[in-house]
Amino acid sequence: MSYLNGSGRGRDPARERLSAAIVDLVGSHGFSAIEIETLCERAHVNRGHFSRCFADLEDCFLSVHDEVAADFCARVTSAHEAAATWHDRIWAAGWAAMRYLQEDPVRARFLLVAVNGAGSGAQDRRDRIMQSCADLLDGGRGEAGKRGPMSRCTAEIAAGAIYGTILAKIESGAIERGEEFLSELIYMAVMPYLGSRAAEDELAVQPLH
Amino acid sequence: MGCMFWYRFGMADSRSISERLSKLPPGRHLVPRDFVAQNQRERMLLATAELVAERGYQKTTIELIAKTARVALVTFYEQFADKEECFLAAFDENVAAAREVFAELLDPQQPWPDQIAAGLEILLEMVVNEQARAKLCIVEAQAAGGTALARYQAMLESVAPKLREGRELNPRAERLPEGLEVAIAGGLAWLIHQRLVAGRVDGLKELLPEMLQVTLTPYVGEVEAARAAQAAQARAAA
Repeated sequence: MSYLNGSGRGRDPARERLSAAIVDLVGSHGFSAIEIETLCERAHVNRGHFSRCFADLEDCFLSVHDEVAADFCARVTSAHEAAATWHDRIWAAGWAAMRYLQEDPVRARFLLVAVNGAGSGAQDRRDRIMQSCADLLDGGRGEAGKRGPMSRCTAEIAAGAIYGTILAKIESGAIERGEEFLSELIYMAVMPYLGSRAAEDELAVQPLH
Repeated sequence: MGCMFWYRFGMADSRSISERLSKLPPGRHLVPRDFVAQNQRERMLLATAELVAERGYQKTTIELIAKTARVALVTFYEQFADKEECFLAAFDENVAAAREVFAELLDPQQPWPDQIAAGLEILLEMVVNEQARAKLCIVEAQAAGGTALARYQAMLESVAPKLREGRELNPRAERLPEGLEVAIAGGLAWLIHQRLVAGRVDGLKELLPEMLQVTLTPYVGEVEAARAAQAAQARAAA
């Protein structure tokens, strides 16, 4: 699988194999468990070629993570923009995000879990994804009317709640059954803005049907 | 309440880091061996919190911990197998200390929304006044490997039972998501995480009403939650 789409680089099959290999290895075993040699072996690339592509293992991880994150965000943003109302945009974005995570659980782990043990650069990237998520949610303030104190922090709390839930589902292997808990994520997204009763109604929605 | 809380959690401690880490007088003395070991351990744990908060877990080394705590490397290895074990001990100790504070200050006889308001207020006091410890428990615990991450998750899950008590106030509680309480705890922790990373904790206490609003809404509804949030705002202003 290529993660290089739209990166502007010329196509380099060896680099693409390195990208796929690091997603697979880090997604399966965590960043701290892999070494350059293992990665090169998996990608069938020699060490010299690795060094021409990346400064070190962290550079490789961060570069590929940027590509996967861009792919993920583009998919979610595109779905979000296609819907008409804030409520529908949240559902569309949630559904697109879930599909992306479901279709490759190892890639999901690479994108959202492995960043936690891969240094501050990786965490910065995780935080950027979270900020994008909070940006989408923050549109809910326009729907909320006067419901007490509300700033962008409400969106950050909701984004954190959603991230924690997804993380737990990835860790437990339940991400593949994402449609079963998508409505719970939507609950967390809309509850601060539309209120508890409206959020509870979301739980009755069966996205697959 | 404030004074006792600060005393228990060391918040009123205005000494510099080096003063706080001061070691026992050098040379032979009559202090019992266990006491010396305990003193050294406390210094290493405090040094770990300070260093990790300043440099991050990855860039904190055993040598630095030993040097900052003013102990020999061999002393470090007498107490801990490696950096991770030391970090986990620091995490456990700080979480246990925070739990003690909550247990002491929260009144289970109070109405549940008031307990949640008080709990959040205590949490924000701790974060603002003990930023290094907060950063260790909330930020770096997510960066220090699988075991630390699991303990961070367990910390969030330990908050769930108290939040879950609020289900008794929602007549439609059976509809609420099973993982709601852990999700809320994770959301609040994320907001604090972001402020700690950005070094913007000074305004954190002002967010109490908003945090309270989000936390209470699933259980008491948005109107009651807004009322509790406004009361918290009024208390803060006073």
